[in-house]
Amino acid sequence: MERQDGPLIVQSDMTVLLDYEHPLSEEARRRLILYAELVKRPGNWHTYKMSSLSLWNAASAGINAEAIIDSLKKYARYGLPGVLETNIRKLMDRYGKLRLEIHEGNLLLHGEESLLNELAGHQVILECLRERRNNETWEISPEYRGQLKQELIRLGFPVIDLAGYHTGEALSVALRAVTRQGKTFELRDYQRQAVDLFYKEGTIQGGSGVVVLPCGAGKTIVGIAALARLNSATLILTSNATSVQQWKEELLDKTTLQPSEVGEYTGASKEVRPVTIATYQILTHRRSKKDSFSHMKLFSERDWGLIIYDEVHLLPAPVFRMTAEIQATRRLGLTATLVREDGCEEDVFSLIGPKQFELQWKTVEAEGHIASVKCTEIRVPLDQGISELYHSAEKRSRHRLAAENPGKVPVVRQLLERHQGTPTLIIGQYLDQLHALADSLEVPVITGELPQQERQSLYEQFKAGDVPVLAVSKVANFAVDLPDAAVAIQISGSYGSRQEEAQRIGRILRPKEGLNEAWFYTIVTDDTKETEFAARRQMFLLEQGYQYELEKR
Amino acid sequence: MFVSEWSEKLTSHAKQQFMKSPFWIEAAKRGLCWEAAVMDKPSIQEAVDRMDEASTAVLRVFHICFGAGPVSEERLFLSRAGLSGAEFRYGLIQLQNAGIVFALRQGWGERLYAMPSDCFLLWHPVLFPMNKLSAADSGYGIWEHRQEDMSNKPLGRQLLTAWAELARSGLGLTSKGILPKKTTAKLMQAITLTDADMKQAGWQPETLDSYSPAVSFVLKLSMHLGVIALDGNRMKWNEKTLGEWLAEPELRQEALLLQWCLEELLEKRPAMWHIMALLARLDPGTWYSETVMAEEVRHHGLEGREWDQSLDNCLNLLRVFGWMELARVADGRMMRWAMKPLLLQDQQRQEARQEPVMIEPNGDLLVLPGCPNRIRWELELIADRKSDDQISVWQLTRSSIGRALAHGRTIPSVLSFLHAASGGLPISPLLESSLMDWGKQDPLDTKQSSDIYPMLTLDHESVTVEFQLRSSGQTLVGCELMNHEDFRIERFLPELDRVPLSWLQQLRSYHHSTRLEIMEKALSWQAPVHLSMDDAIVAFVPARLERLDGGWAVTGLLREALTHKEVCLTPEMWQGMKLIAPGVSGFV
Repeated sequence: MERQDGPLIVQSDMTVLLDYEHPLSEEARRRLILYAELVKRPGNWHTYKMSSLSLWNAASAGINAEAIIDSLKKYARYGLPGVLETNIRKLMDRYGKLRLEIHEGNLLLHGEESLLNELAGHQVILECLRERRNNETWEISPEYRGQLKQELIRLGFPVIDLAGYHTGEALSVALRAVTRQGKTFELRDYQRQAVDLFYKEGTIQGGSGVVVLPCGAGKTIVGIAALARLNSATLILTSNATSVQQWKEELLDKTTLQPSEVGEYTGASKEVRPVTIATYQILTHRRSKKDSFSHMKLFSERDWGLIIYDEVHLLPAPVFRMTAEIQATRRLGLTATLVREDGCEEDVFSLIGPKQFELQWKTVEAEGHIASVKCTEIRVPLDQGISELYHSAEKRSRHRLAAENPGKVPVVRQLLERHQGTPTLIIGQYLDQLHALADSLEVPVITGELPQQERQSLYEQFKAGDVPVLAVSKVANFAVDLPDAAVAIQISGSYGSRQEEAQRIGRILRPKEGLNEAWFYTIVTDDTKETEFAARRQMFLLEQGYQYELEKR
Repeated sequence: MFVSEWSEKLTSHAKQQFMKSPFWIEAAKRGLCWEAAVMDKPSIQEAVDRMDEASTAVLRVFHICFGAGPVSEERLFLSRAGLSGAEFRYGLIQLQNAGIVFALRQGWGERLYAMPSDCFLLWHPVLFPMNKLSAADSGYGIWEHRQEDMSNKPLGRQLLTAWAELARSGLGLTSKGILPKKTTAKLMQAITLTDADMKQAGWQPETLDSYSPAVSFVLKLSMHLGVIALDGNRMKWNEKTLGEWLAEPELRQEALLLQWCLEELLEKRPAMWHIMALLARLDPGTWYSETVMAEEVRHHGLEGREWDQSLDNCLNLLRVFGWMELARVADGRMMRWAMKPLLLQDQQRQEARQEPVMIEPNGDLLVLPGCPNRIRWELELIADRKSDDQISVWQLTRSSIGRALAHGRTIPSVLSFLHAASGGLPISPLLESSLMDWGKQDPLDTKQSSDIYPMLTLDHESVTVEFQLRSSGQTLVGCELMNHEDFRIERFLPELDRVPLSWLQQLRSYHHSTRLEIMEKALSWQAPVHLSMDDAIVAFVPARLERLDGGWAVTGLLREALTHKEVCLTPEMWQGMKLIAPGVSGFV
């Protein structure tokens, strides 16, 4: 291929590499994110991937195949492989070929005769069919609306769902200009834009889809704003009980909702109110595998006008099945990544909806909405006292011995001195280690053993600045709102879990006053297995674009 | 056989004699030797411009019908189309005298003719000018499906990955003297060529070959290139040749491989040589319609099923070896050169960029086109290949470093290699620290010295010799190269000196008996005559004389501007006539 001076290298397998140092990289990136998903950005080369879903997401935003190919050609350094052009056209061609609409109260699937004939060869599609109206229109049983969309996308044909929604139970709710805590509050521009794109002025073109925002960029606020825009009863599904608390606090703080209007539906409490917040865990709870999911009835216990799926990349399969049955209800997915470990991205697209809005981490950071984080790995030698023990121990015990290396304590002490006066979290995997360290440093500890009420109280004191340093176990990994933590010191972690380190850094991303900086330290024992596991965890973060530095003690 | 190989068989005197041919006047003035002149595009153009019609016609017939040969004199003669025998022989002798075509004598006296095969693609565009084809709108094509819709990697790149796999696995043979199945299975994974591909490309493994067609092809090619050789009960690397091959820029490697394919795979298929040379005129990266190309093939007088089939075979071969991309559209197929491995000119070689490896902090190593192959070679050992497309990606991992240690590398040597490969850019401290950590592992499977993955230097000055591709050398088997002195005009124009000069020099009206004598001489020489008929002068090639009652008639080919037709003439049907002795009294 002839070489031109472009920032993109386009591969046959739909991967696109972006040379971040190229003068046209930003211009190219802005186009690229419209139809490709960022996979990793470990250094100067950022990897994006186009897929059927990323292309259909683009198509749903009004972008066509020619525009994508032209944009790739414009910036491609070595031209486009023929197979790639073909694939883009083939996939984009499929979008819009099938439409679901309501006509005189009946749910109709429209499509070209040849395509419908092809689909008629699949039994699973025929199950959804009520009647063939004519060669280009089928009447579909309304209860199969979700299943049909799911099966069609599996066959490679996305459906544009224009069958609309019911409004649900009315609920009067508005955003506050001043929060209950007395702070001024307004949506950030990108949050308003995300809600507008989801709502689409209440038309059938909007009302379902996913908003992708990086950690710390205020996904909860987007959800709350969508709720306030629709003014209807809302079911919020989230990943854990702490997150339920966080949603509740934000709702009461930033909207006109009264405590009596917001219910928690968790293991501890089963309140069904106009706005109900539940965990995926309780919805998928059942006594035994033979039993049904009794809490799924929550979906029909009120006439919900909106369902919000928080952390939609964690949505479990039974909830997908339930969601397939409530396609006439508006649905909003919130997430930091569309990539699912289980590969169920297609279900998110067909059942929750296409991506409506995405904002990249770098953009949010550049605008000061999240803190800039400096990550450092500090290597400490194995304490002489346990060195012999380590080398004679079995493999399984070695990791723990390295993780609990007493040599880490003086380093933590030095770091606390370095950041004196800055709210700091010390995060660890092992409770014994955490307790010992907390005792020696005289700081409080939050672990799973601590009752929820006491945890909440410590969080409050931390937020208020009364407690400057908190030691926390992995309970703090998910969705805990610690707005003022600016330093995180990780003293031990699990075996290379990719998500763990990301979640932990997420704790310190929220914007800070002043220089808007945060620091993440991970302390590992040199010359032990721990460096290997730490490297695995960091790999993920490096690929997310974080810079790591190395210090040796 | 290539020019360099013919050169080895020729005496210096013969090569000097070639340069005295009028075809090479300008080349000789520029001081070019024969080996350089026959491969030099301007000299080729000048030679063809200087050629008489007979020589050009013979050379065209040779190219179309026989590729680079060898072909028997009889078959060559039968293919002469409208040329008279004398013209044909004259042209052939001129070409031999200039060292463009060679005559070979077989044991029992039969003559064969052959050309240096690496001249073919260079001479073809001069002999068969072609209008620039218009580019096709790429439209909405359906890819020629195979292997997850990826196009094949260029053959040179596939060889590199295949060799790397063999070097990692070892070249030890089983008791049957073949590579273990485990090794060949890994080799198949390292390449994108399949057995079906090889069938499409026209590869016929030997009957007793124990390997699958794709493996057999890779091994045969590797041995032909001299990179691997059999050594008792094992194979061994020729590290010097491997280093020389991998020092070549990618496009030259592919050019040499295409040359080899022409020799080896297309030996008996001249139609494919001809079509390949026409395809070579297409611009790289531009889509062309197969229908338009087929039209062009027909325009060159090539028609019929054999040619259609040959075009299809050519396209398949080029796709299989990763040189061309094919796509189907509603009204046929489209094609484009993905990379054009055709005879690099020096100018292009200078332009080839040597791209450094980009080392990402997560251990990803990004390799752009133009990265020296010796770097790719070492990467195949120290890192795991993740993708190999326009850009290739390797990743340094704990296990890949473990493998490198087992093959005798050390962390300092790996770091030094990375430093050199990246053009001296610093490596991320985090990655360096990971490498140091990985270097502390115990190499599980330290290789014996005979199984060590060959280490090649990145020092450009260490390889000064250009890789020399050798042909299979089959052309000369059982043959003797004929002496230059055999090619004299008198050989085909016997008794030339006894012919009245006026017959050769003037278009005159003769008595019927003299007309008969001239026609008989023309027949014996297989030479044409000029006839003036109805105020026009036409060329006529007599084929046979017939005695009629009280007279005679001659049947032969009447050559007019656009058509040739067989006619029967009696002496009163023309007014003047002149005998044409090719090379002596001009051409028709």
